[in-house]
Amino acid sequence: MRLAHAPRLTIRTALLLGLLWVLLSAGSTLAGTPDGAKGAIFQNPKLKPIDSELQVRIGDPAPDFSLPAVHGETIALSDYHGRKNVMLSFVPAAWTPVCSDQWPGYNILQDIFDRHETIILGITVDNIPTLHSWLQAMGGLWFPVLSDFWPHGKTADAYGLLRGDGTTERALIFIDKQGLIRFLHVEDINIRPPLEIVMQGLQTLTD
Amino acid sequence: MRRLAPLLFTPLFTLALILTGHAQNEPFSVGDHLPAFSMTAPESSTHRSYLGLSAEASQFTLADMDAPAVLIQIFSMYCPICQREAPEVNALYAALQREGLADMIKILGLGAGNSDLEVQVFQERYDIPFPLVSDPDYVLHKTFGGVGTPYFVLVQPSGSAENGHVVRLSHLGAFDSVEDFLKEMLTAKH
Repeated sequence: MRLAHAPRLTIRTALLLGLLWVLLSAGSTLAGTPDGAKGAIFQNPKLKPIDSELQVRIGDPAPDFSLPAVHGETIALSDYHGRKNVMLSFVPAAWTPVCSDQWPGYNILQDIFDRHETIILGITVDNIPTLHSWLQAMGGLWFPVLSDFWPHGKTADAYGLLRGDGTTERALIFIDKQGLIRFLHVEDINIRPPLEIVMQGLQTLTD
Repeated sequence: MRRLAPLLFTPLFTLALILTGHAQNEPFSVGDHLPAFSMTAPESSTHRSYLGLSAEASQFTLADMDAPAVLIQIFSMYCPICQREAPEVNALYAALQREGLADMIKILGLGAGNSDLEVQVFQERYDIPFPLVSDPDYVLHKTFGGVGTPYFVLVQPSGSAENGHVVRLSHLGAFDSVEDFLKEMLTAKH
C-alpha cells in the first residue's frame, strides 16, 4: 500500500512546493518597511484592487462614527466639527507590507497637515492590541489610529469601504470642518496612494 | 509515476524562479556588476553639475557621471529608518567635502517607489544636498534586487563599457557611524 501511494504523494508534494515557492516569493516590496517589523510582516499575495462600492460622494455629510483609539480614548468624527478638517486614512490590515510603509511616511508631513488645519484619523478593522504592537514596530505615529474591529467594519461599511474578506479598502476621505466630504480616493489595495493624491485632497479643504 | 514527479517539479520550480526573478531581497555582493539602468536627470542645475551632466540631458546612466566612485543610497520617504538616518547621510556627504573627496566619491539617492513629489518632500524635509532620483514604479529598485531600505552600494566603473560598474561595498540598513562608514568606503574603493 505504501509503495502504491508514494508516487502520488511525491507528485502532490512537488506541486505544493512549486506553488508555495510562487506564493512566498510574490507580494509587495519591503522598501520603506521598518527594519524592526520586516520579519513580522505578512506577505500577502496580489489582491483584487477594489472589492466594495462607495456609499458616499463628494458634498455628502460624512457618516459620523465613534471608535476606540489605540492610545485609549474614544474619538468621534463629530469631535472635529467646527474645529479641524479631517483626512480619514483607511488601510486594509495591520502587519501587511503596503500598510506598514504608508503611515510612517505621513510622520514627516505633520506641518503640512497643520498648515491645512487637518488631522489624520487612521482606521483599520484590526483590534486594539494588534494595532498597539504594530504601531510600536512602526516607531509611533503623530496622529490617532482607530479600531473599527467591533461591530466589525461598521464604520468602513457606512462609507462603502468594507471588502468581501472583512478588510477595508485603501482609501483617503477628506472632510471639511462642516463635516462635508470634499475629496475622496480609493486606491488599488496593492498600491500606496502617491503623495500627490494627499496634497490634492488637502488642497480641496482650503480652496 | 515516480519518474513523473521530478519532471513535474523541475518546470514548476523553474517557472517560480522566472516569475520571481526580481522579487528577491538579496543585496549585491562585492565584485558583482550592476545591470545597466537609466535614471531621470534632476532638474536642479546644481545637482546636474554635481553629477557632471549637461543641461540638455533628460536621462542619464552611471557611465554618464563624472565620478571615479558613486555611493548609491536606496531610500524611501516612507521608511522610518531612512527618515532617522537622513542627517547622518548628510553628515557623510559633508565629511567627503571636508576631506577633499567630493570629486572622488559622489552620492546619489534613489527613492524606491517614490514619486517626484515624495522625493522632493524628503529632500526638503532633511535639507539633502546631493541629488535624489524618483523611482515611482520600483523599476530601479528591482534592478537592485528589491532590497529593503535603506541600502547603500559603492560602485566604480569597471574599465569596460560592457561590464558597467562593479560593486565595491554593499551595506543593507543604517550605518553605525559616519566616520566608520567613510573609512569602510575608502578601504573598499580601488
